[in-house]
Amino acid sequence: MPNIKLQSSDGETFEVDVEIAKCSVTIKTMLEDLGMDDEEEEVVPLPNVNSAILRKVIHWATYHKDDPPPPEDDENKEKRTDDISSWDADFLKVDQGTLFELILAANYLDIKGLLDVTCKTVANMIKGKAPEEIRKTFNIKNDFTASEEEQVRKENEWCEEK
Amino acid sequence: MPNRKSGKHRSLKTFGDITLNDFANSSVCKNRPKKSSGSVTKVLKQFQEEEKSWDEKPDDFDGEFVIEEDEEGNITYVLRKLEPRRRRKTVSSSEDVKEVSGRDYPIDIWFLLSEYIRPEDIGHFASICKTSFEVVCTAKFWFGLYKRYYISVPTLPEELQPECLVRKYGLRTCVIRALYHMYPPFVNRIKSRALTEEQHPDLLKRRLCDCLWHQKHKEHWRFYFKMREKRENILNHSYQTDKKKPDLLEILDDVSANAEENCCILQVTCKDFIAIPPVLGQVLISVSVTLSSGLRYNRLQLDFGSAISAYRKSDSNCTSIILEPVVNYKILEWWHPQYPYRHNIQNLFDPD
Repeated sequence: MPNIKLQSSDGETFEVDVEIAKCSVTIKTMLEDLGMDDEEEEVVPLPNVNSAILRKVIHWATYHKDDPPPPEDDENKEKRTDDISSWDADFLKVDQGTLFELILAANYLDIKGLLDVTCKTVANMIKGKAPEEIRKTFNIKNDFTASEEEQVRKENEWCEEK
Repeated sequence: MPNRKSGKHRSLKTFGDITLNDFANSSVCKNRPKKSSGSVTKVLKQFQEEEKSWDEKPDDFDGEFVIEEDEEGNITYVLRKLEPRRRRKTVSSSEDVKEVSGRDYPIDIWFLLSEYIRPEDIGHFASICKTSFEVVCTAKFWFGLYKRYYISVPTLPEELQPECLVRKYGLRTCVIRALYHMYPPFVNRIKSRALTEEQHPDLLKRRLCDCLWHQKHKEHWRFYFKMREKRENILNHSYQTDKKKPDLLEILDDVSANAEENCCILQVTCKDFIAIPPVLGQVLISVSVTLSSGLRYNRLQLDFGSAISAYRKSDSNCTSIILEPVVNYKILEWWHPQYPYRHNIQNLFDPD
């Protein structure tokens, strides 16, 4: 199988099977548009992904390389969050910062399967939690003042159970 | 003579009644800002404040009425001003200092995640940070939410059907109302609330009566009191980010527009017709629900008065409405499927 070199934002190079790299629509399109042959020793720069995250992405893509292409997104359908495979659930047992970085990387590299599973994991972690708890879990900065926060709460009384 | 002159000066200062003659004959400019008034910005601020229309100026009566009792037992009502803004700012800034730690994630993350958020988690999602709040203020979010949870239900009103839900104006309001017709957890909430005891109308205290009407319903009469809560909007949505008055096209893009925000309707079903005195613009001071004399129905007494009297213990100037015999009463929030509302944007064109 021909390999391709992917370079992370911090300069580390990863040699990956082309078919695995093509899980990413961004890389696939790049290879097609630039007409890069499989034998060429070109390095594909990925300036938005650091080496730690790229390693994780490659790990995920290698495991899922034989998966059938994900079905077209039906925006008219409620998105389930309870259908995460056990391998994915174990794979995503990482710190919350890495989880968010993986979402950004999956979005940038256009890997639908990875994006879907990472978003589902975060959505499950948000479910039923108070904003303060969510912020604490994901180390998110609270940029609201107390009165602003109170306003947002009042505006969203419609979804609270009384 | 010089003494008398200075005396005249003093009297002007004391009473502030300056005649045209005083000005015309004066050799000294009297309306010049004092040198002691400080910086140019301070003076400009003062002028800007003066140029504001009456409703934009800070209200002299902003504050809370508190009861003070002297040693002889005389009760007086004193207006205690709200804490000065400067102090409030310090409070929030100190809170900010406490919370500054943490990461700021790009808006893309919040957009991606918003597609997986259940309707009941939207409030918490919007409260995470300003960026997540921004996402919840977009038309994309509400159109997406509607599409994901749309199911055909016979009770869904025409204006909430997909073919009618195309414009941005008031989109959020429409989607929330639609969810209460088609999203099972919300539909069940309404159903279970109907089975349990109604909320006590006491929670409408200090709300302003915005509108009231009645209608015949089968052999009963229904009285509706639309009660509005006064709330201050600190956080702006979409187009309201700059201070200038938005034009009509900007208003039409206002996803969060909701004429019924902060409103509740008290719906009282009575056996007989009762003439209701006009209480529009008055504040609900007290409510009492008791059994009527036959022990079969309720007796509902609503006392309305001015905003000031809402803070007094007893007030003889209040208007009492006694509804008896009351078959039932309900409090309907603006998102309740039975909340009566007018679905058009006529109010945008009404001369204000």
